[in-house]
Amino acid sequence: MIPKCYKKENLPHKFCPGCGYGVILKSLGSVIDHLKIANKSVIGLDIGCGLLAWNLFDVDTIQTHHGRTTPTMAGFKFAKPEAIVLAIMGDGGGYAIGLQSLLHSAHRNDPITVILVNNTLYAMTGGQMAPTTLANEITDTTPKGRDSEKTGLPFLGPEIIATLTNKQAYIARASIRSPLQVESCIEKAIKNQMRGKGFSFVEVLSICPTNWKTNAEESFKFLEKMEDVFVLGEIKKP
Amino acid sequence: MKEDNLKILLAGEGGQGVQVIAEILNNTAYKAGLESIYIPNYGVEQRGGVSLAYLQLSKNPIAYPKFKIADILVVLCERAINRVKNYSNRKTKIINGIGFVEKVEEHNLSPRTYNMMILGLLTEFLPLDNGLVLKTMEEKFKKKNIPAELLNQNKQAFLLGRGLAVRLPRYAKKLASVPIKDHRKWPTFVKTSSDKPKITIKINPQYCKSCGICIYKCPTNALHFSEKITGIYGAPITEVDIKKCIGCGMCESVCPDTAIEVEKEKS
Ligand SMILES: Cc1ncc(C[n+]2csc(CCOP(=O)(O)OP(=O)(O)O)c2C)c(N)n1
Ligand code: SF4
Ligand code: SF4
Ligand code: SF4
Repeated sequence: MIPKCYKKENLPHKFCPGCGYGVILKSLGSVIDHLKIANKSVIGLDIGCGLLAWNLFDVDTIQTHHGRTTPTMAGFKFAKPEAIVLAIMGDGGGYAIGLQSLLHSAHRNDPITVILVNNTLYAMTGGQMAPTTLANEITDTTPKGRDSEKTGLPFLGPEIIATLTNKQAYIARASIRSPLQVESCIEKAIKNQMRGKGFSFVEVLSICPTNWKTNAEESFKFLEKMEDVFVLGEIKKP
Repeated sequence: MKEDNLKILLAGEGGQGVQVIAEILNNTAYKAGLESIYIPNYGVEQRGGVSLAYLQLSKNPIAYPKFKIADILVVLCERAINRVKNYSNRKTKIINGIGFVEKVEEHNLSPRTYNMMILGLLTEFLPLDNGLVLKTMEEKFKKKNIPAELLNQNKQAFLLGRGLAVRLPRYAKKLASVPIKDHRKWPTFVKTSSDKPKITIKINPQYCKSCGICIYKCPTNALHFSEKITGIYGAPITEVDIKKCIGCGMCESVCPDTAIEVEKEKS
């Protein structure tokens, strides 16, 4: 079903055929519908493919500098505590250039919701290595596969953020292989913000057929490989 | 060649195959001993932008692969018009392929052969030998191991395009007079099972980008790509064999583009 909060006149959206973002945003859309929060919410979009969602929802959106979506949205929340603020970013935006912003926001227990899309690379710029790139994964900047001796192992965001936050935090990892799980985690993360205090964070494992150069079957096979490295589930609940 | 340097710009949806047209013409020109340059514009067409191919044929060396004004401008979709209108002036010959979209299907050819029909049509306006273009096309498809039947259909589409060229003047209006409105009607394809509980599947080709995820995820193999009907990017949409469908809702839940809906009557 098309979420009610989608702007139908802007469909089809601008994501590539088969892009995992479509599934994640659709799940977010159903949560917004279900909680009836379209007119209370504001969505912050990082630079990255996620910004293609700028006109997808009938919800206010903000677009800020690469990696700075977390502090921008935290600032919005401090100015308007009644607003429900959602920060959407990629793994490059959240775990590379914007990591310091993300960690400090988590450490301050800012009452905001961050949805981070992990597709193991910098998608919008053509598929360069990100902190989340799997060992031996071929990307534009690792043509022979990521050498983890030299460049480290995939970054485990939720696990690290869990150690920084207080008991009010909701931290989870979901995968678009199960859109219902994505929906459930996003709903809990938003409800946690609505209750008041804690930082809430959902990393969603996604597919990027364009940069992976995969068809539907290969995309989902690679997603399975990701799930071996990035363990799914709720890592912290209030 | 009348002009020493012939500049051709092709514009269409990603997936319509404008790059293949340009590649074949470029290779043919090379074989014919002409100078030629082809440069694709890899923009954001995968995300819904327009795909452009710049092609130049010349008797003399060509200095630069891009150009500002085209001698021949080929547009294959409405959205391309806005993108390329600045590349034309009063002398530009405009080939509006939009008016011919349905022709291949009328002749029972696969919609995928549309670009080869345009190739046939365009060749009539170029200083290239038809036979040589056809031969180059065949070579290209054989290298890609395209099934013989589809190759045959592509050849027929090429010949069909040649025939249509005669009628082209009717279509060669100024760009401004080409209708910008989407000429395609977008019906929703609805199928309902006869057994109880009743299951209804609705597929909206305007949203379907042919990613194949629903087909891969369907537990009963009830979905397949259409042989005839194409979606928003000119690629085949999904079709359901409703007899095999169990109404599980998987396809709807995994479709990134909200193109498929499942309704199951409560039993
Ligand atoms: C400060 C700054 N540095 C670099 C860029 C270039 N840039 C644009 S998008 C992008 C990567 C986005 O990757 P990611 O955050 O993983 O999101 P994805 O596209 O994968 O969803 C980069 C580096 C920029 N826009 N701003
Ligand atoms: S490049 Fe990848 S992440 Fe970006 S829209 Fe395309 S498939 Fe999605
Ligand atoms: S509802 Fe289930 S069985 Fe029916 S087409 Fe969709 S995925 Fe296949
Ligand atoms: S219906 Fe959806 S999932 Fe299926 S091919 Fe079309 S866009 Fe992809």
